[in-house]
Amino acid sequence: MFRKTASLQRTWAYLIAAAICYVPANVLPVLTTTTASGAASDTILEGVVLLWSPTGWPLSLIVLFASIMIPSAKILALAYLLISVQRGTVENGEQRVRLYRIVEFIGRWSMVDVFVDAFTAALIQLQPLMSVEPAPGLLFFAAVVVLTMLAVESFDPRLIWDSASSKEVRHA
Amino acid sequence: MPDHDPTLPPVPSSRAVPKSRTRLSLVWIVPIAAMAVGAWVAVARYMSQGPEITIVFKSAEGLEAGKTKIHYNGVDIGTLTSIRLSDDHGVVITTAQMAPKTESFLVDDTQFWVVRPRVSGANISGLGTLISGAYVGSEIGRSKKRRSEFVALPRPAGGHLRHPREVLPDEDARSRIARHRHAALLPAAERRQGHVVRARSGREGHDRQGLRRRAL
Repeated sequence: MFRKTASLQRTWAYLIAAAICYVPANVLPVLTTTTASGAASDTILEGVVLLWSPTGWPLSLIVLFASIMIPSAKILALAYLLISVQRGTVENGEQRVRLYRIVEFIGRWSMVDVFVDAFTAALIQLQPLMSVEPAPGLLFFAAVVVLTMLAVESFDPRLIWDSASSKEVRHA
Repeated sequence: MPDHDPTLPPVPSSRAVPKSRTRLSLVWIVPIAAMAVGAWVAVARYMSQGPEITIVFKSAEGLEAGKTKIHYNGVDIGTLTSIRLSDDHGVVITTAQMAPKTESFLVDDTQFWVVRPRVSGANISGLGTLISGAYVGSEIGRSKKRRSEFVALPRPAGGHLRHPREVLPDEDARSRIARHRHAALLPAAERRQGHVVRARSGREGHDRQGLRRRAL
């Protein structure tokens, strides 16, 4: 009664949508910087490379983690959970529940990158000398974050121990 | 309600059968929409790309891959995408992504050069590039023959450029310059036709360097 309806199907749908959006999110530029020397568009990965400097490397690492590794790890983790539930795997149920909780907790932090971009775009408007504008990639990136969060929300962790309990019933 | 009365007929036992959820959920619109938008963006990006050309420069000073623009009459018609040395380190080979519908610009006698600040005698030019950085200037040729590999002029052609067709060098100069290492970068067929020569001869009389090379 309190189960999430059509959990597997909905989670798969959101997850596939997130995976599709992940490609343009990384290929398209997220930020266009216009300076006196012309305009330059940077993708997330280019941003990581740009930020990498002797003093700025922690920031670069944060962007790398929050924007590239976390979204892809989330997509992979959810796909693993879904497949294991569908195949009726019984092993490491506890670990899989823990994985689900981590994914659920970590999801919102990917939005950091979107906020950083939005703030920079709002703050750096020294026209005509310099201006920063969000580029289409950012839209897809935000879509990835939102879609993975929706996927996590529509996944019912009870499914993880469903197969385990049904097996117990059969053995009993 | 313990065990039921044996005198009554047996009551059929019921079992809950959960409604099967095999029906396709409406959620599948989400990935389909994502796919459609992604495909649309990909197509739009592909359509907004023009031809790719190669321009050979003597020096890449002031040029930056991904930043340096190619201008024609002040209009941005392309961007340099990569800069590398030739195999013999003699020249710089750049590739440029041109704007869409620029195919008609890229003909046989189209010329490119770097615009950077120059002060020579009474002439000062390219002052705007002091702040903006160098860009690549171009002069669109009149030929009908398409081309995708160019050798840049060492200095701006300017508006007083004579049309290259009027100053075609003699056969001897052609073969001499065709042997020049820049020419080795072009396909053999084009080399034979003396494209390099034509590209260079346009600034005859304006360019001492060119004259010196010819004298060699």
